[in-house]
Amino acid sequence: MKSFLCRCLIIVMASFAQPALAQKICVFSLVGAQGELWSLMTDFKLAAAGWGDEIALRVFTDERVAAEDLKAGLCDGLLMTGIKARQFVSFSGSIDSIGGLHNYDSLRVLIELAAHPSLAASMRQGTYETAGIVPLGAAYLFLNDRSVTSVEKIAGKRMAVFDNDRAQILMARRIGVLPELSDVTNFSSKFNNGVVDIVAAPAAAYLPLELYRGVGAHGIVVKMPTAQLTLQLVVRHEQFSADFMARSRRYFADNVDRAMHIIHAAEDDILFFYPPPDKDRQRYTEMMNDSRQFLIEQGVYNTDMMAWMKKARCKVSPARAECGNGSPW
Amino acid sequence: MRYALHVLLTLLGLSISLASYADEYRELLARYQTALNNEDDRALSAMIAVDATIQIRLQQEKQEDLQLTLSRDEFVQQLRALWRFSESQSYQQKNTRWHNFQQGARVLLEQTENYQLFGERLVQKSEIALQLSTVDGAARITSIRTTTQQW
Repeated sequence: MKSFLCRCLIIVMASFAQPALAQKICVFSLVGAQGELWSLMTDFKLAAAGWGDEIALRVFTDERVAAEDLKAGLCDGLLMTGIKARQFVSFSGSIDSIGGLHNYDSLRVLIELAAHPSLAASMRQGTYETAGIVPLGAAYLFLNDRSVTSVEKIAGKRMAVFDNDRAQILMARRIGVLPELSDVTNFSSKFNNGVVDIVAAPAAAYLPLELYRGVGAHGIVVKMPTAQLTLQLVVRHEQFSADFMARSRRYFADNVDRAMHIIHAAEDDILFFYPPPDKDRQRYTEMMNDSRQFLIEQGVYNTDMMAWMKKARCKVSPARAECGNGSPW
Repeated sequence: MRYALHVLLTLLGLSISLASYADEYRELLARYQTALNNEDDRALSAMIAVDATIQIRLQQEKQEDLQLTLSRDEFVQQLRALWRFSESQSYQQKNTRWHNFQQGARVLLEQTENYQLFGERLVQKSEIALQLSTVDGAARITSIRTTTQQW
């Protein structure tokens, strides 16, 4: 009788047991829980469920707060900008380097490489591991005056630089612009209100943040990537299996086309979107290459990633002068 | 006699051919102007050769001219974006001059655009040179060079 009652009690208690807690993935999104990014993450959540991994999504409109929650363990993972991700995993966080990747083909090559099992160890740093990379679009220079397009004329102008990106601050000093410390929540209003003359931003920001107001009728958006921006899912790796990591990286690599479709549509909306003036084109390229080398020497970027990025650039464009110079990056 | 007839027929064929090219190019220019006025970017794109050379020289007051080289897609994208943001856009072309029919046609014309953009009333005057050629059996614009002033 006692044995029977004990068995009944165990059965009753088991029926009230809590289901396994879902892993909490936090998502930084300027527009909140809506739009293409949120749609991508809800699809990711469904895919993960198919692998047997339950995920709960939580949205943040403030990236700084989201990163603090990740550090505090309140998020098991966070989808954030590559620039922010650099403090967690410097290898993948260096993809967003200034002058790092010259076009979208080289970015595709790199994301595919990053999803390869042979680079899995590089995607982990301390407590954290990068579980996915999403293209956000090339960062272009937005100027409020199209007469200021040469590298030399840019010097002395005011430029919004993100206060969480040492690379931008160093580069601003190097090319002679006056840096105005900003963040992702206020750089656009500073540009649109004339506080700064120049910002660097992806096309995805053009309509939502109304950057056309800052460009106005007399500005220009220079159609030469200064960097390839990404969003990266960084997780606390002890909360997830190695199988999840591999599947997750593969999932995001397989969805690059989806992101690129959105990026191309956003770029199609940009007015006064011109390549650098003919006589300045070479100088712009030199500025990007020079800035990349300088920032590597300053220790801003992960040198292993810099080497892989050179491989990606040269795979796509083998005629580039750097491809035969024997330099690792 | 037979030889003379042969030469005559060849010359006749050539002149007919040239005449039909001339008509085709004039029609192409008319369609180009219609596409601009109708803000029809697809029609415009179809008229311009995919590898067309497009150079724009923007004259700036008290500043060096800005010379830009665009692909066809970049050129059409910019028109599409301008039409999206601007209001009350109008195009007037005048002073059309034709040259060099045998290697295709070169057309020079003056174009004035009036539009409203971000609260500003703007006028843009351009000297435009179009090179028209036959590509895969169809008349296409193979080169566009403009010198533009805006105020």
